[in-house]
Order: sequence, then C-alpha cells, then structure tokens
Amino acid sequence: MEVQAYLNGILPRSNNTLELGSSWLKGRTSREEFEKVLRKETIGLIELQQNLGFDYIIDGQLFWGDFLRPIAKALELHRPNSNADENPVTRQIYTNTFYRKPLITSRLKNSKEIIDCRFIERIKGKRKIILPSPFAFIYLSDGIHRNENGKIKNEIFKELLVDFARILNFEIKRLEKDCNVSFVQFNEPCLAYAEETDYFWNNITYSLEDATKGIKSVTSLHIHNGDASKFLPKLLELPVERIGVDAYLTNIRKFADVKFTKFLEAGVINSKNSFVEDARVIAKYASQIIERIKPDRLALVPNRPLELVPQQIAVKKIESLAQALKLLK
Amino acid sequence: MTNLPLFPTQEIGSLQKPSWRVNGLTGNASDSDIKELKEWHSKLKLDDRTANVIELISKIKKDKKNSSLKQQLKEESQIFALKFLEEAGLDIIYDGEQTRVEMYEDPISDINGFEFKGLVRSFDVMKYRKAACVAKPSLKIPYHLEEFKFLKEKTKRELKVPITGAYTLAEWSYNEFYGRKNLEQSDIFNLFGSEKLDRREMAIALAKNVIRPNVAALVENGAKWVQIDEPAATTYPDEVDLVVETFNESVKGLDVKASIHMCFSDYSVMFPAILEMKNCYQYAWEFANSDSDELGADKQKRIGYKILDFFKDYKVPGNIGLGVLNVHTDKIESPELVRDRILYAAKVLGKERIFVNPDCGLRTRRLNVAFAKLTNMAKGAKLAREALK
Repeated sequence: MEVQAYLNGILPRSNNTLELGSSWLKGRTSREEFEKVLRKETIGLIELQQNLGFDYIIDGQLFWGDFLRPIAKALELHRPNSNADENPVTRQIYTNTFYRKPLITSRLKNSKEIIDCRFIERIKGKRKIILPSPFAFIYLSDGIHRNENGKIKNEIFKELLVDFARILNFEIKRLEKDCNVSFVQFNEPCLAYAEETDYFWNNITYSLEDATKGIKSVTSLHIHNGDASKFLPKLLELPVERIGVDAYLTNIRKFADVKFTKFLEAGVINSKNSFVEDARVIAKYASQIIERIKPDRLALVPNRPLELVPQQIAVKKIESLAQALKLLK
Repeated sequence: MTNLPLFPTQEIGSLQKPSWRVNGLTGNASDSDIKELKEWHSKLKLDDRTANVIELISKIKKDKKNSSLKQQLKEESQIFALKFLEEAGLDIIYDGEQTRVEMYEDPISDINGFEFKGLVRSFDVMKYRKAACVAKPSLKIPYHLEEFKFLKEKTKRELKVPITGAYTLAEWSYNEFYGRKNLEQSDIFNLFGSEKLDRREMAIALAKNVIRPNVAALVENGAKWVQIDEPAATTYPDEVDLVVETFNESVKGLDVKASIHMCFSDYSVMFPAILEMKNCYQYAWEFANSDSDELGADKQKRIGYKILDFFKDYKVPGNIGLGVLNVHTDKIESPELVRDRILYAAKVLGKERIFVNPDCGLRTRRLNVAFAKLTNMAKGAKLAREALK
C-alpha cells in the first residue's frame, strides 16, 4: 500500500518571529518589518515540505491570528462598532492556545474572498488548504444560535450549518479555480468532545455534503481533541474521502473491528509533546495500522496543528515524518 | 478580613514593566525612559525616589554586570507597582509581578526537572516560553518568598500572592519524563489514554513537591492570602477533578486564605467538580471579555456574566472575584459600566460575596491604559456602594 505524508494545521512561528511580534505589539518594531519576516518564514516552510517530498503542501497559515479569524473577518462576525480582531479571547479546548470568538448576529452570507492566495500560489506541488468544518465554526462561535446561558438553539444552529457550508463551497471552488488547490481539509476540533455531536450528526453530514458539492479536490475531515472511535461505524459514512484522527486520543484498536473503507490519516506525530518521534517507530506504526486496521489507504500526519511546539522542534518532527515515509517506501 | 469596604477592589496579577526598568536593567535606558520615569513618579507621588532610580540606572550603564544594582532597580520597580495600584485606589494589591519574567517561565526556572524548549504562540502575537518535564520535579527555592518579604514591609494594604498552580504548570509543559515509556512505545495500539495518566502524575508531583512547600514558606513568613492561578483549568473538561485535587493538595493543612484565578475558559465544565474544592476563599474569573459595553444591571445587558448563575444553582460557597475590565483592549471601561457589572453580580449572588478585579493580569496593556482602567474600576466600585446605600 502506498503511504502518504503531509501536514494538517497552522505551523509555528520561529522564536525570532515571535519575539518580533511582541516587539511590534509594544510599538518597538514596525508592522512592515514584522510581516516581511513572516513572509520569508512562510516561504521557508513551504520549501521545507517541498524538499522533503510531501504529497501535498500547505502554506502554514503563519499570518492567521487564529484558525477562525480570516473567516470571521470576511464574514464580519463581530460586535457593532468593532472588528473580528477585538472579539472575545477564548481558550481552545485541549490546548493553551486561544481564538477570538466570532459573533453571528444574523443568517450568514458572504461576498468576499476569505483565503489569501498569495502564499498558496508559491507552492510548487499539490496545494492543500485547511478550513474549519461547518460544525466547528458554528459551534465555536457565539450569537443567535445560542441562548443566554450559551445553550444551542437547535433550529437556527442547523440553518447556520447550511449557510456556512455553502459559503465554504463557494470559497473552495474559487480556490480551485484561482489557486489550483487540489486538497481541502476540514479542521474538526469539536466533534469528538461536543455533547451535541450525536444529535446533530445528520446535519453535520449534510453540511459536509453541501461544502463539498461539485468540487474536484481531495477532501478530508481531521478530527482532533478527542476519541473519534466513538463514532464508528457512522464515521465512515461521512461525505469526505479521508478521515484524520489523533492516534494519542483515539482508541484506534476499535478501527480494527470495522471494515475501514476510508483513506485513514493517522495522527502519529504528537504536536503536544517536544519529544521527537523516531522515524523507525513511525514507520512501524504505519505497518501496524496496515496490518491490523487495513484501511483503504493511509497517510501519516501530525495529530494536531504543529503550532503547539516551537518551530525548531516542529521542523525535526516534520523531518522525522518524511524519513519514516522513505523507510516505508 | 478587616477594614475592607463592600466590593473590595483587587489586582489579579501582572502589570507591564516600566520601560525605565526594562531598558535600565540592560544599561540602555534612554532620555525618553527617564522622562517617563519622572512623569510617573510625579503622578504617583514617588518624587522622593526619582533621583535614586536615575542614579541606579546611570550606575548600571557603567557597570552592566553589577547584580546588586540590578536587584535594587527591580525593587524600585516593585515599589512603583505597589504605589501604582494604591494610587489607582485598589484595596488588595501585590507588585504586578515586577520581579517575574512571566507566570509560567518564572516558576519553571526555579523548579528542578524542567528544560526550556523554545517559544510557542498562544494567539495573535502572544507567546510564551515552553519547557519539558525531564525529571521528577522538586523545588530549588521557595521562589516567591523574597518578593513577598520585601513587599510586606512596603505597604499597609492587604497583599494577595499570585502563584501559578500545579495543573497549569503541568498542562503547559511537555512531558518527557512521566511519559517516557509511552513516548518510546513502539505499538501504536497502546498510545491511547497514556497522555492523560502521565499528566496526572506530573500535576500531583508538582502540587506536592513544588507548590505546597512554596505556599508553606510564604505562610511561615506572614502571607495571609495566596491566589492559585489556574488558567489551564478547563483545558480538558474531563480532567477538572485533577484541578480540584491539585488545588486541595497545594494548600492542604496550611493556615492561609487560598483563592483560585481562571480565565478565558468554558467555566461550565468546572461544575459540579468545583464543590470538592476545600475552603476555596474566592473564585476570581474573567467575565468582562465576553460582556457587552452597554449600561444596565440586567441579564440582557450583562451577557458576559452568565456563569454566575452556576454558582447560585450549584450553591457554591465562597466569594467571587468579579472580572470587570477586559484586559485585551485599550478601551477604558467607564465607572458606570463597572458599577452595573458589580450590581448585576450582587443581585445574583448577594453583595457580600463580590470582590472586584480586572479579568486577568494587565501586562499586555500600556501603563497609562492600565492605570485608567484600574482607576475607573475603583470609581465604579464606589458608585456601586453608593447605589446600594
């Protein structure tokens, strides 16, 4: 079986760039200087993936304030007389990272481009983009779909899932046309822990259908922050080609009990630990998966976005992943 | 507690370090740093210390390796922060963590068994230095003791010592020690669940071997109140029992008021586990971050304070440290807005339980912004008292 490898989330900024960001915040460095370094670093990370022979290349999203921000900005999801950069700071579950919570005040519509293509266009190879899943985006937002105690209002939640899926679909088609994108990953940090997942399962399925309708790209749903095995076997019926899981939080033993009919993205590089995985061990993991789970196809990926480790460690982990791939070939 | 008014005002943690302190310590203070020093000292009625600080800065410029001079400058910065908070009108204070690098990096530097790995981003351009646990944690020295001993001689106001909690230290660290056997695991089918067990072991070890001895040393030297900072408390909703367990272990058997600070979290997951916290004096949480800017003491306007209902519904004893200032914006909350936030909380939980504070530390705000916010917070508390007369 051919095994693939690629990355699947925001990549870390270097120590130097992080220091420069602080300096900019304190008014000691100009925005231009900061962004110049960020641009150079983005290109460096793209080249790293290309040189290591990854099957799909991401731009690393180094300019993103958080994994929802460009969307919240494009859709203008904020308080009156404010902007998305001033939305409430909210902790992302399972990590010490934060996002600014989008505020949905009416049904969603969009006429603006969401994703900045300038770095995607620099990629020589197959281009992959990462967007929040419809469920994750609406779930992590505040607004008309929640009551005053924060509980979900079911009907409006469902409507917003449809709205957002259509917005994503439009944007993906634009990215395919304008930027030659050939892989779309839906980032799904909520599905595995949200209490409401089972209730909304059909709507989650419909929203993914809407989001992927008529698109040519490879599609995946990467589930992190919890145990994805609890959704078997219906997990395998979701309308995406690939399912990604966190091998440290998912009981993948259960995957061996079903006929795994999807392309499995196994999150074996641990973004929550500084320990750099040995390439031989990663290769062994792949062999164990192939032997016992027998997925339709297999890709090796990080379990969560690599921004959770310092860049120099992330680079070592990325190199180890590439080395494992070579061993397997 | 003695001599505290209704709705006592308090700080939560950090303040930005003044530029004369930052640049002065490296021997690079500029004329504009000195100008700023003079302006602030005048504003805070610290003029009698200005000449001494300028002299210290000048001496450090000529003798950049003199650690005694640098220590004296840091102490001036502590005095500055104390006075800053006193002049803003706060009742319960500390030193804005002027001697600490940051709430994670600083304590980790004083704990055996950790190794720094580099910087990571938390959001926007915010970052922190992250370490890995590489051996069994133990305390090098009670790391807040000298700071506290110095401060207690410098103010008559009540001091509350902020201490980063065991769970947060564990959750924010990589684990290369307790998880070692799992990290070297060569069977992928054995990875599931290992991280959680390893983190529990590390967190309990930190509570027993590091935080409790630290708190004990403070209590022995006169500390009456420690605030255990646990911003990571709700990171894993199924682990909040561990947060409770480490809190209890950290202050077990010690004669001290112990409170807990948490922020930017889904607090609902703390219930009902929170009921198992033993003698928690105060829950200081962030609220204003999610609130509207409109005036009014009713539920529709105070959307950021929904979680107060949980305290009421679950009958959680203890006081509330009510976050009334959003620390992530330069917008200055008006005294009237602060008043309404307080009055709403008083209506839900009863006025005697409400303490007033910023959502979190103000270190990311410039000093003039922090001062304006804190001053209005004190004014708002006064307005709330008057409203209930």
